[in-house]
Amino acid sequence: MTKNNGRKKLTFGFLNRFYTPSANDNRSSYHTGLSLLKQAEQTGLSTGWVAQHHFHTETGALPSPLLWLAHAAQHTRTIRLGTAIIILPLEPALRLAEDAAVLDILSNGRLELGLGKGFDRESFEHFGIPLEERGRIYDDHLAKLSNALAGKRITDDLVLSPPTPELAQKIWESSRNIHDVALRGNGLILAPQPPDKPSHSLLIEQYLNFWRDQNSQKAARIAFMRAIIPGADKKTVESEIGSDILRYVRRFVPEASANNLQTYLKNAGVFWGHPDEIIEDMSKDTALQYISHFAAQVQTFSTHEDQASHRLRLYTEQIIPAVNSLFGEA
Amino acid sequence: MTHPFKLGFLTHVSADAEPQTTYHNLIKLFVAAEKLGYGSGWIAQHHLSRGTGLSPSPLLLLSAISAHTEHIHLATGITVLPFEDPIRLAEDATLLNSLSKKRVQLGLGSGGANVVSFPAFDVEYEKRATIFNDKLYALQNEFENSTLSDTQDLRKKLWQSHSTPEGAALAAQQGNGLLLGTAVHNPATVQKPLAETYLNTWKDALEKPRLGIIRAVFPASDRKTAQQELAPDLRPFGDWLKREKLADGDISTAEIINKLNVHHGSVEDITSSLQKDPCLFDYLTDFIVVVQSASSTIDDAIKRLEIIAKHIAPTFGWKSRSSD
Repeated sequence: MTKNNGRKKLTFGFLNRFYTPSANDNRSSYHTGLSLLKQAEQTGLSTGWVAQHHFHTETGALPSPLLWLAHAAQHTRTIRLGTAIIILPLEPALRLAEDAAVLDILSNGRLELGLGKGFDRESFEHFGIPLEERGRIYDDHLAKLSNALAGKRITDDLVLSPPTPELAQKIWESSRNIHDVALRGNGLILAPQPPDKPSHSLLIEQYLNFWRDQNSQKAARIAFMRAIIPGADKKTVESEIGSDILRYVRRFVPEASANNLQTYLKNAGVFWGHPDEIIEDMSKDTALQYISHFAAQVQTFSTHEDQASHRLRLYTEQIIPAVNSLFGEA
Repeated sequence: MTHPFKLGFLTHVSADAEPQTTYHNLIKLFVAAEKLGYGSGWIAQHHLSRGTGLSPSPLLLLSAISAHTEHIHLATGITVLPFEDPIRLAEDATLLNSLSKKRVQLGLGSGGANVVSFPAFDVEYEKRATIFNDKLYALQNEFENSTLSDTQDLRKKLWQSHSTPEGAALAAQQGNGLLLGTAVHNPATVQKPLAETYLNTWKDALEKPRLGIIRAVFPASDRKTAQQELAPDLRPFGDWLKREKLADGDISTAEIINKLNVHHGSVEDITSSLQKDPCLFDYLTDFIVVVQSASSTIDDAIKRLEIIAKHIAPTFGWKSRSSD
């Protein structure tokens, strides 16, 4: 595996999960999301990604990413608009294809369609879809979605309208079934890996090998989504986000203690501290040299708009130039 | 003679240009209508229309429009409910209601005119009425059981489109609005009985019934000019009327216009024909005009909306929001 082999130039983005502690504040989170997206566009980020949450799980306030992006597309001109991710088993596949096609046209071809299987039991129960069958349903919905987007016949002579054949080339998957993702020619979204799972480097190596077998003429698309929380120094940032991180970890580890905060941060793939400390830590992450896109999440559950905007500025002004000079030359 | 009513317009988002231009023009149409004082704009849903339908996702289009408007209500006319997941629909409508500061109106139908699309969506056409009812209740539950004001609000913004007295009665029993005016339904023999069933079944003393009536209105210098302008776009409707067994043999443009109840001609012509329409201002709370045929340009459409708002609707007692 050689550096930059078969990948595109490294680009940078921003991921918003619309964390909103009280559902009554949803409106203000949509407003904040818009101003952060505009800031991201003005500071040259290539892509603004948004996450989907149903029923305000994990305090995420955005159940309808494509509808929000249709609105946001009217307030921006150049930044690409991504979903990271849409929980595909819970979407009627053909309706999703229609919405994605309309959004891609409304936004002048700026949509990047990221998909995932989902894991939240409560959400699946509400939709009446068995969590255990999400893998099978995901594959089924993805096949229908891809066919429709590619302009193939759905039934009789009916095809998706409006037609957007380019969109079939802009699908991303957050999945550990690396082989399937490469086989389908889709981009790979890598979220932080738990310590007991295969490392990113291994996943990327497998993906690139499969990719070269299948898609020799096209560049592979690999995106990292990681939390980047810049501030005065590690200790200060830990006091800013400590309670949010513990709250998150306690969903899976109820006895989680503040004494182990740094371990939790590392396991969750968070880069935190002074921008120089973050750059130093990122320079040691060898997987970064093989990716084509890096998207930073700068908010935790209770981050205020000003703080998010400040962190986004540190990310774009200080961290990106340094990371780009380390890993960016394609 | 007439009571105050709201004025709206409905568009099918016909593909008069490249999709991107069509969407851009759609936004222009809403902005212009809002300036003219229109209270609502309704977007129809058309699925998989063999490459010609550009409106499979009215809520997404309305979301883009919400970024450019402040007052006009953003409505679907209608959403084909059997093809939707009620939870996802409730989520989308809620987000749009939040983004637009509660301007959403949600029109629902069973998709009877979309017969060819049912297999693609894995829905049995014969069961569409039952499926519609089940999904309507599910959707209403989503709104009623929510603690969010932007969601609860939608419970009073539902409209149903029906062609049977049972459907009209259901809309009244559920406290929902009723939309009438599908071109194939004769105003005197079909629409009027539906309107009366709806109003007679309405029981809620605290809320008023909402009756939206849709009419094609084509202002031109005179009737003949309007007919000439409409002729090429109406030809396919002649075949359609024959298929629906509403006409047979050679059918002239004037006959098609008559069957489809298109009010056309000069301001005086239209005013007089609207007065004679047997199912209109005596019943409606919302007068919803369709001003585009397939080849209408955006400028044609805006001009027609202007003539209706300035010279026709006021005759029947309508007051523009800006003149309040």
